[in-house]
Amino acid sequence: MNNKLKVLRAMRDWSQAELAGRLDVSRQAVNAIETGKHDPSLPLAFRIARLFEMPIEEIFDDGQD
Amino acid sequence: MSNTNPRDWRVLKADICFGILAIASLVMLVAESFDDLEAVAAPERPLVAAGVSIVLMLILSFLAARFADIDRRCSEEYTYGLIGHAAIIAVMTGLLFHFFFGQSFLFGSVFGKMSADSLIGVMLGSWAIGYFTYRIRGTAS
Repeated sequence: MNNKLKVLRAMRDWSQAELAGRLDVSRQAVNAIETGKHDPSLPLAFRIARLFEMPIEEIFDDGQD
Repeated sequence: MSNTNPRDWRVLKADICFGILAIASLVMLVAESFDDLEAVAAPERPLVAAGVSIVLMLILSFLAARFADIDRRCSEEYTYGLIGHAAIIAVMTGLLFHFFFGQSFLFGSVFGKMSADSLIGVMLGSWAIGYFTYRIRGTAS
C-alpha cells in the first residue's frame, strides 16, 4: 500500500521519532509504514488521518482505483 | 539511551529476545542430536490420557488466547504483527520438520525420529528466523 506519510512528515519538518511520539508508536513502525513494509491497522490509520487532518484515502492508496 | 522512545525500546527488546531465541534453538538442536531418543511409555489408561490431553489442550489454548490478547493490547501493533507473522512460520516449519523426520522414506530412516525437545528447538529457531525475515522485508502484503 502506498502512502504519503513521508511527504506529510517532511512538510511539517518532523523527524520519524517525533512523528512516532505523536502517534504513540515506535520509530521503527513509522519507518516501516513510510517504506511500505507495514500496513497500519485501521485505528492507527485513523490516528494518522486525525494528526494530519486529512481523510485516510488521501494519505493511503491501496491502488484499487 | 535516555531520549529513546519507550516504544522504540520495545522493538529493540524484541530484536534481542529473538536473537537469544535463535541461539538457544541452535544449542538445543545440537545438544539433542547427541542425546538418545526419549522413550515414551504407553499410558496405562489410554482413553483417560486422551481425554485429559483434550481437556488440557482446550484449557491451555483458552489461556494462551487470553494472554495473547493482553499482549496485543500492551504491545505495539507493528511488534505484535512481526511476532504473530513469525509464529505462523514457526508452526508451519515445525509441522513440516515433524513430517519429514517422521517418514522412513525421507529423513526418518537416515537420521532417526525427532525428539520432542528437538521439535521445540526447530520451532523456536524458525520463530526467530521468521521474526527477523519479517523485520527486514516487512509484514505488508
